[in-house]
Amino acid sequence: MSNKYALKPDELKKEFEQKKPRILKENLAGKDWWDLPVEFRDGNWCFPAKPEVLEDLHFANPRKWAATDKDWQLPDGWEKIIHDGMKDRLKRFRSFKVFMDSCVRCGACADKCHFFLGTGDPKNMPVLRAELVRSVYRNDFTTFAKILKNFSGSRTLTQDVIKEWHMYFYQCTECRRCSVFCPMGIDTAEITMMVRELLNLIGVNNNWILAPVANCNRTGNHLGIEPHTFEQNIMSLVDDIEDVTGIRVNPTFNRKGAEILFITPSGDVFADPGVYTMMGYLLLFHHIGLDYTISTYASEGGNFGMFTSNEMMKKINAKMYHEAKRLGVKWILGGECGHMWRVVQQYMGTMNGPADFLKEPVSPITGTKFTNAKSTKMVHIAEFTADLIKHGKLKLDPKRNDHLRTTFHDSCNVARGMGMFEEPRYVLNKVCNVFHEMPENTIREQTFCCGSGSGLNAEEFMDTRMRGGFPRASAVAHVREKHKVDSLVTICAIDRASLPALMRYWNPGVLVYGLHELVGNALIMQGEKKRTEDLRENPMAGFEEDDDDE
Amino acid sequence: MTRAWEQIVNENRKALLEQWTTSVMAMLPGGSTSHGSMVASAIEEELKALLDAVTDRTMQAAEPIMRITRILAIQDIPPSKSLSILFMLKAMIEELPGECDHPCRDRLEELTLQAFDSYMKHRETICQIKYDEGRRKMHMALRRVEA
Ligand code: SF4
Ligand code: SF4
Repeated sequence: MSNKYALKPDELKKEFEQKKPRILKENLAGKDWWDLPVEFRDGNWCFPAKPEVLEDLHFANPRKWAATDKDWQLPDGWEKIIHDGMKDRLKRFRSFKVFMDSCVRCGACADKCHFFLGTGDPKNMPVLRAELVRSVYRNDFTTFAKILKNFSGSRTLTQDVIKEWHMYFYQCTECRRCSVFCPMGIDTAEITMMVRELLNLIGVNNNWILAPVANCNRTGNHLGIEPHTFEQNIMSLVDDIEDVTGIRVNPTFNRKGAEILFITPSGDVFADPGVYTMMGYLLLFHHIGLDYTISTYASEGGNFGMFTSNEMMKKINAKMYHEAKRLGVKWILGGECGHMWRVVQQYMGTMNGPADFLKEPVSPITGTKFTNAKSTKMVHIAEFTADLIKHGKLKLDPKRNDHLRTTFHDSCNVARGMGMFEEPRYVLNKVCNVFHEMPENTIREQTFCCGSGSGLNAEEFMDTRMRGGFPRASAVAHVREKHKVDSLVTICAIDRASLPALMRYWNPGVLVYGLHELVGNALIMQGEKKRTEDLRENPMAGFEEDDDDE
Repeated sequence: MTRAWEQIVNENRKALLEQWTTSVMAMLPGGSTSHGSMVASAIEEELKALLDAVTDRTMQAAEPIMRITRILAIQDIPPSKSLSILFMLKAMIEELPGECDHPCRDRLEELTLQAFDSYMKHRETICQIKYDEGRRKMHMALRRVEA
């Protein structure tokens, strides 16, 4: 079929030569750019999934191996598995096909990825990351193959290509920053998702992703905490709240007929500093007398299935609606998380919905209809709280956070995955007095990733995480120097887990907080005792024991 | 006539810095293509500060050394290579025209040893961070065990 808009081969060649980024033109001593060596060393690879984890999940090729092994023990016929897998996905996912075909090599994305900025490795330029797979696609799948082969780089699939994919598609946190700058709207994050799916078909994987997936699959949450322990953890936080505030909050579990089901990432229930954010939620719900319940089965908002395969994401997500139906709630309220919100906002409604058994969410306190959540029936806590504050429903004393000088880190998935920028800032500004923005090109839709997202938060990967997080850390260093900022506030559980490490390395002294932890500090609870400590039991400034002007 | 090596370095500062930066940058995985990355500009900036401290003994070298080793300690570069940056500089200085009345070797060896201390400190921090992260993840479980 002829297309008058399509470029002729010589035009295409010329255009390619003119536009491709420098590395694609570079004379690398007669080699192609992808011949730059890939070497797995301590700190640049994540441990592969343990055989029992793969067996649990019925995933391919369980075995003991390491990225540093020469032979990765790929299954017989692995080339065909990848080839067929790619063919199938090119058919099923239109975006994948479009992204394979439509890059014009303008280079606009080249210096936008935090992994390129933090490592200087050209294969971390989003355009080259995609070329790693595009070069195989071109060789095997396009009619352009013959035209393009001579100059644009196409290559056959070898074990070395697989090694390279493993290296670089696990040095992409699926953050989508590059897509903001791409004139063609190419989302490298989606390419990464596809390649990770393909790699899982031949048992090339990451334990830090698949172990939580297996745990979620079995018990509902990442650590595999069983219902009684899950409940015990929360009740022990209830005791802590009482120690600090004198107020006994009363969460309920698996209560049928509650109006709202509250789901948050399980990091808020077992990890430091997530648990302080959990304490903030519990105080808030008590403050407004919310009729809510927590499920010990849908005990995880996070969904590492998203970093594994579409099918796994769907399976793990299904428990949210299942549980909402079983408990007969009206709608779901979701806690502070990054990727959970990308799954909920972009996929849940069609993937596991429509959830017609739920009602369009309405705040029982203010009467506000959350029309944007009409299809998913799930509301983001920052939006919920912002609405409460806007309607004057919360008694707040922002002075209680005067011991903190804050800045706000937009989590990639909430910012670029659902477009939420204002609500958390609105809340933050109402609950504390000192807030400074990081530079413009590092926040909101241009936010820099923590460097550890999409399941790369493994301890053994620490060196690469420190490199990938360098741009974010530099932006924090900027406000630290300029405004003495010492508190990095975020609305994502992976951030709460990973940013403390990043700050300790690059900006020692800067601590990481969840937004609702600060809400919890600021809430004036009816009948509370004199508050002198924040939820971490650190002294508040100006609220000392003998200080009476509160 | 012999002169102080510091003076010769100062006369050739710009070219020397460029040559040094290029050689250090070549250790990054992308070599010269790493230009345009943030880590490359950070290295460039820190080398500039470090060169000042190399020649001016009244300046505190500890801060620039701490900063450059913090960047290098987490790169995909072996420690021996990272810590060779001051030897690299020594070789470059020795090739500069002009006779020195005393060699730069002592100063650069002294700073290399300081850099070694600093590099080790950063690696120790990484170990500590890994340990702490493990504990943070198990916060509630540890609390129960330790109660
Ligand atoms: S999605 Fe993020 S991590 Fe991945 S290539 Fe784009 S900017 Fe880099
Ligand atoms: S910005 Fe888009 S079109 Fe341009 S090189 Fe990057 S992926 Fe290709």
